Order: sequence, then C-alpha cells, then structure tokens
Amino acid sequence: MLRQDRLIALALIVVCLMAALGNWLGGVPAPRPDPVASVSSATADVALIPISGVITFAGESSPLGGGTVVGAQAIIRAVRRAERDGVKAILLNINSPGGSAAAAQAIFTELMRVRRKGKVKIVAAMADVAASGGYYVAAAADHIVANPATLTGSIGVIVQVQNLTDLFKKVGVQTTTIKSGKFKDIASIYRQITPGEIELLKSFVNQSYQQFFEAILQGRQGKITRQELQEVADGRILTGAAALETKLVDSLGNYYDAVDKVKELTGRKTEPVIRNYLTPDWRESFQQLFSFSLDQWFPEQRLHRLTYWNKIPLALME
Amino acid sequence: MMLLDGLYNSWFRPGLGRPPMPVAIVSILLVLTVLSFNAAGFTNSGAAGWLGWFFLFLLGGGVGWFWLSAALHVLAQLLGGIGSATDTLAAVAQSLWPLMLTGAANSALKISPRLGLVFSLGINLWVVANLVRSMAQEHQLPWVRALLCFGGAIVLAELALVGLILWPLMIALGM
Repeated sequence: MLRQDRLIALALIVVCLMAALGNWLGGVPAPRPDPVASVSSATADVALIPISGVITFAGESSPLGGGTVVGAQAIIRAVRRAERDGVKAILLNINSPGGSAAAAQAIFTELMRVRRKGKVKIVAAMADVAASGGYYVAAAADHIVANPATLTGSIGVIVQVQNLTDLFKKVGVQTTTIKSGKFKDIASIYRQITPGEIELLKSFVNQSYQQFFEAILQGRQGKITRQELQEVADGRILTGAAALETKLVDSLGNYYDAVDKVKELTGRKTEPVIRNYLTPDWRESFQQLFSFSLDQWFPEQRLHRLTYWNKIPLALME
Repeated sequence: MMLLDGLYNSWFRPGLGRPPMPVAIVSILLVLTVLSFNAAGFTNSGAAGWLGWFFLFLLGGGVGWFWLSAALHVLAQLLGGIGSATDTLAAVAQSLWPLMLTGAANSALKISPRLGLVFSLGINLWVVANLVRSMAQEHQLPWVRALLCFGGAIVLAELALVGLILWPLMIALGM
C-alpha cells in the first residue's frame, strides 16, 4: 500500500499532467476572448481591410507593423474571415499605387464573390493613391469614396524591358544563355528584345488590360458605361475630383465619410464597431516571431542591405 | 518511492530544507511539461509544436530563473540577507512548483471562466507566498523585508527584461 503523502504526490502529478494534456489535445478554451483585436469577432460589424503599398501575392508584414508590400493572400484570408464572422460591411482603406495584375485580380474576384451574395456591403476609401491595381481592387466596392486630391486611375497594364548590354560591356560582364525554347529568356536584360517577343508581350499586355477593363465594368455596373470607361481607361492618372466627374468614384470625402457611407448602406443608426481584419491573429504573430529574421521585422532594410553588400545599383533591382 | 517522498516534502513541507537534486530536476521538468502542454493547446500546435514550446520554456525559464534570482539576491543582500547565491537560486526553483497546477486551472477555464481565473490567481499568489517564505528562510529575513525584497526584485527583473528587448533593437536599428 502506498503511504498517504506518496499517494497525494502521485495523484497531483497525474491530475496536473492529464489536465495539461487535455488542454493540449482539446485546443483553445472557448470562452477566452479572441486576442486578434480589442473587440471580439462576434461584436464587430464592419471589417476594416487596409490595403497599403504595392499589391503582390506574397506580401510582407512586420511584427512591429509597417511594411511596404501588401499580400493578396492575407487580404483574401481577411475577407473570408470577415464573411465567416458575419460582418455587415467590409471597409477597404486603399493607399496603393498598384502591383501585380494577378494579385489585384485575385482580391477583386474574392470581393466580388462576397458582394454578389448581397449580405455584405463593400465600401472603398481611397487615401493618397489608389491607382492601377489599387483602383482594380476598389472597383469591387459598392461605393468608392476618394479625397479630392487622391491620385487614382492609371487603368492599364505595363511591361518594361531593359537592355543593359552596353553597361555590361563596359564593366566586362559576359553572359551565356542556354534555353529550351525561343521565348524562355523573354525580357532578358542581356540582349536586345526581338520583334517576336514584342508581339508576345503586346498580346499579354492586351489580354491583361482587357481583363482589367472588364473587371471595372463589372464592378461599376450601372454607374459607368463602356464608352465612358474607354475614354479614361488609357492609363491616365486622375485626381479624386476628376475621377468623380468621370464616374470612376462615387463620392468625395475622407475615411470617416466612408464610415458614414457604411452606416447608410447597412442601415445602422449607431456607430459601427470596426475591427481591423488584416492584423495577423496571435497564431500568425507567433509564427512570425519564431521565424525571426531582420528582413521580416524591417522589410525596407532588405533592399538597402542587399544592394549595399552586393554593390548592385538600384536600377538593376527593379 | 523516494522520489515521491521528495516531491511531497518539497511541495508541502518546504521547511524541511532544500530537496535533493533529482527531486528538484523532476519538479522543474513537470512544471515545464505542464506549461508547454498548455501553450501547445493554446496555439493548437502539434507534437513538434509542443516540443518547440518545451525547449523554448526550458531556455526562457532558465533565463528568467537567473534574472529573478539575481534580482532577489541583490535585494536580499541589501536588506541584510545572509544566504548565498546558490541558496537564492534553489529558493526560487523550489518556489515555482505550484505552476504545475496551471494545467488544471486552464481546464477549469473551459468549465467556468470565473473559476479558472480564481484558480489562476490562487496559483500566482501561492508562488509569490512561496518565494517570500523561502527568501525569508534562506536569507534569515523578517517576512516584511522578504516581501520588500520580492517587490523590488520584480521591478528589477522587469527592467532587465526591457533592457533585454531594447539591446538587440538598438543594435539592429543603430548599425
């Protein structure tokens, strides 16, 4: 027979270990508030999704905040979370000069999917700039609010190819290319572009432009005609005020005017509870923390460091 | 059996003196296991995640143990304590065992948040009481001084933590 003190010690160990094991296997205790934001997902009725910086698929974010590249994946995930939480509206706060066509298109498609269901209203507020891909994303909104001086428009697709052969000749760099097909090294900086490649790139640009154009028409259906859009969709940039005249945006104002618009569209009389859905939840923050790298914490430093150590002029990095 | 005796005495009869080394190690490992299970559950981690938390807590716990002991020892000496640094390290290690109950406290949170919070608060108070009592015992201090020693040590340890975070930031941003 075990003595009483030994029995107590053994029971204590077993109970504590079993409880902790249960916590592990059972996952997160349900009653704990979601530490993603100051308000719980159940109480937030407007999902704020800031879209700041160049839009790409990967994106970069820092656990310290900031970063100049916004990731389409993160935005799509935020839209899905907002939809799942049953928010009444999504408020896009756009401050982006554009980015990759595919990334902007992916965000647009996701927002349109939510908009078509009709349960969630989408309002876009433009800040300093919402051009090209930034406008592509905004076009998915039910209502677009721009500041009079916001730089917007730039509806178009661009591909730039550099030919640095003269520079390389001067510094004594020779490159040999072995390729499986004639277009495998398209847009190579090591030689002059060929007429065939120009044709191919033109076709690519036209196709991308057509998709962009049709997407805007689709997003702004009933607000702008094909004819009216053709007149401004030539790559020109416009101020917010000019964009209102050309029907690219719906009203002028700031972020708070956009919030008022959200209230109007959702029929709310009281102030809506707004929650930033792009803030990584604590699990993602932990992942970022444990995959620590200075590049991740200070994304702007990477380019500077890379160019400094490798002695590469910035022009070559673009 | 000896181990169970040692653990029981270490937990419930601390006045008997410092526990033997194997008992102290088992006690610390139990606390680390429970804390890492809790963290793995909280982050929905798999087995690898639990192991990661275990080693992280092993490392973090070691560093924290050192900082808290150093702060407590400095203050105990200033307040007239007579124990050695080894005594302080042992006193701190021996006082933390109620953290093992956090597994049960977290489980209680699932049933009743209020009960869980009271349970967690009780565990924290128990650890504090243990620390104050063992500091008083190891350094032959009156309990008021031992309490002062604990309060000051927490402030010092927090300041050290701030320094620990700011140092790498200063180096990273300044270089």
